[in-house]
Amino acid sequence: MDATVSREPGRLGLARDADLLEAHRRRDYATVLDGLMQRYRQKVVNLSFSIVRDPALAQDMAQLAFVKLWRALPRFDGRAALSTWLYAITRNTCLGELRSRRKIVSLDAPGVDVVSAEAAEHASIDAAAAEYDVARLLQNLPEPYRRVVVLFYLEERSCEAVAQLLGMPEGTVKSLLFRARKRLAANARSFAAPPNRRRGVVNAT
Amino acid sequence: MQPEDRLAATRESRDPEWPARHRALDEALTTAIRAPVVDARFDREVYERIRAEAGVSFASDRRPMWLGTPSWLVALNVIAIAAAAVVVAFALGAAGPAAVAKSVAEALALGGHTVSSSRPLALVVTSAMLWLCLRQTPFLRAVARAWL
Repeated sequence: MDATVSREPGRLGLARDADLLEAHRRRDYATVLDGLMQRYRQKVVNLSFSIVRDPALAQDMAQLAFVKLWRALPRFDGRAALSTWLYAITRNTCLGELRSRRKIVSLDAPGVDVVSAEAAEHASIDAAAAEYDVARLLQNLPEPYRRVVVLFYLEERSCEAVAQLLGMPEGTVKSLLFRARKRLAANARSFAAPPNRRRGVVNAT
Repeated sequence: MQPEDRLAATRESRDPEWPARHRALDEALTTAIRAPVVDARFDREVYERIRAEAGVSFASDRRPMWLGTPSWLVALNVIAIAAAAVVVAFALGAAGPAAVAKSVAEALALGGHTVSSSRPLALVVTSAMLWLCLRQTPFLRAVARAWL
């Protein structure tokens, strides 16, 4: 296995899913991994980011997801698409990390959300650049709503893409998005950024 | 949530008017939500992690098999091998040149009727059986893997 990962990454160009499945049938796992990374790395990072809300941790989790995928490739049975499988591995990796962090936090300081604190530090959701305090708006959304909203805007407003990434029906995504937007609009006035952070006219509703 | 409400929510979420009605909020969300952008360096780091992990797993593969054996089984194996060694030593002593010469003389004295003619065969069978038993022990399985 070690010899097969010595290939230079990125030599293949963008492979089609069918080509990747064919490579998997040939047990050419390095080609599969390379193709999946080139096609889906940004989506995997987006998905990780929507769950862990910290850019550095999101990249770390995305890398870990690909490492786990590499380990599990020989067991892939082709019942689902490779991308679906990769997204599931990513979600489980991120949620496992969040669970382990919450356990550590609960031993030290109950009630402190480590990930939120890190997200605030990194300020990836650039509240200062927006008309609204978006970071705060998102932070006050329930977790499933927040994931859908973040992915919706990262995935160019495609409910279909969000549904694939989160492994849920498109109707559920639309429903969650509807409710999330309703809540965002309702909270927008009360969480609107202070006047010194605004750049123009703000009309929340 | 009632089924009708769920249906309404799904239908209304397709409503393209929301961004228009909440244009500033929609633009703020579009501007503010940014994930880290990754490139080929991401791939290289994944490959490095895989290589590092493969090195660890290869190192663990090289551990002798008996290192993972429970101590009670190791103790039993030591006793079994010691007992087997005693049996083999006894068998070799019985089949030594002096013993064979003695058995040949006895056989001749008995007029060719060999009481002990089956002894070498018994020795071979015993040795084979001992070997078959002993090779199932973790020690000898490790030796067999390494040398055979």
